[in-house]
Amino acid sequence: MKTLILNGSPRADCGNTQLFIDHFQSGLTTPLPVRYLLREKPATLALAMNEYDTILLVMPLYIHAMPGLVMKLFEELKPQSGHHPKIGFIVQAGFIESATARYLENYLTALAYRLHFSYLGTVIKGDAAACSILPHFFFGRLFKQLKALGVAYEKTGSFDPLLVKKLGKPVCLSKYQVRLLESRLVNRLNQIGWNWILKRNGCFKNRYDQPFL
Amino acid sequence: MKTMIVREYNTVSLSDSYLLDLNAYPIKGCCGCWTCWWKTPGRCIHHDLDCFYHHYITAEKVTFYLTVSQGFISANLKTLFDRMIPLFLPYTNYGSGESMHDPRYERYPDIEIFYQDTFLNTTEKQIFEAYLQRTFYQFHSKTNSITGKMPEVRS
Ligand SMILES: Cc1cc2nc3c(=O)[nH]c(=O)nc-3n(C[C@H](O)[C@H](O)[C@H](O)COP(=O)(O)O)c2cc1C
Repeated sequence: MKTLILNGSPRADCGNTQLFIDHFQSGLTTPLPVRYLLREKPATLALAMNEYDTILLVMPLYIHAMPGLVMKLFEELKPQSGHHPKIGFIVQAGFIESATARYLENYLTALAYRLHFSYLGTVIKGDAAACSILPHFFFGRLFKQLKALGVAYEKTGSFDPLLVKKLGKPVCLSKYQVRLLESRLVNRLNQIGWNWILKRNGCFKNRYDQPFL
Repeated sequence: MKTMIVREYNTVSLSDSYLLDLNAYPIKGCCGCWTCWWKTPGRCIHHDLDCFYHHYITAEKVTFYLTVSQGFISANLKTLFDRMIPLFLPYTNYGSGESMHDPRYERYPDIEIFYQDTFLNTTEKQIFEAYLQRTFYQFHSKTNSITGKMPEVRS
């Protein structure tokens, strides 16, 4: 099985997508080749994809869907004739609940069908925006799960459904979670991170600016 | 009423309406740097959309004329949506039962969408319409209508 990993993040190898790829790869005996959408022309990558029988596209969620950069690649893809290569997706996002990536997941399923790829599924993980900001021990469990996803992928050529389910939790926020997140204390804690960065950059007092009125 | 048009097909333009012609205007991609939230709140490091931001945020209604690309919105329109993140705040609220960014501005325009229906099947069409509804809901706008029409075939 010849697999190519595509990194669809505009931050290429400096972002959270790359961390996801690295931890997935740590579960493999032989690392897979990785190519970056940011660094190559969409047409070149579309052509290169034909040399593989499986494509794993790893990307961040941008406005409930793929980054524009990934859509540029999709626009270059032609329906496969003859053999049906496989395609699977790993999507990581900032919001906690994975339901926000449902719109993208539905589209990716339809895209695989449209292009005659055999669809391996979409792994979704929310609450991942701070992966490359906070110390790694905060994300120990996530990284272990990604490694296990890699181990299972090498064995079966597919995503382990149990791990996919675990990574996708919570799908929606429970009433209890909403109450907790809306509580004054948690709300303040959530803002601390942003405010700390804004203060460090000397623009805390400008945080509510409305420059385009 | 102040209006704006974003178009990928059609030749409509109104003399008193700002026009963004996506066919003639390839938008620079969001590079994910968060400068618009962390360093220059509300402003992107790229300036190709400054005029668009002003007209969008001060319009009462924005009308989109969209083409369908690979069963979804075009890459250029998706890039425009990515670049609209500076119009919102980094802070998240959960009042609606799900995560949503707080508005940066007091008001956002109402949205009207027309598109050229070139879908392969109804599933694709549903995905496309649901995605647009959802996006403008998250953008704190009200979507008045989404209307698909088969493109005219010229003989
Ligand atoms: C323009 C933009 C739009 C985003 N839209 C969403 C979104 O709709 N939902 C979400 O959960 N996270 C969203 N995010 C957060 C990213 O998915 C998250 O920060 C991700 O970890 C970034 O990955 P990267 O570092 O590999 O680029 C967005 C980020 C950016 C820059």
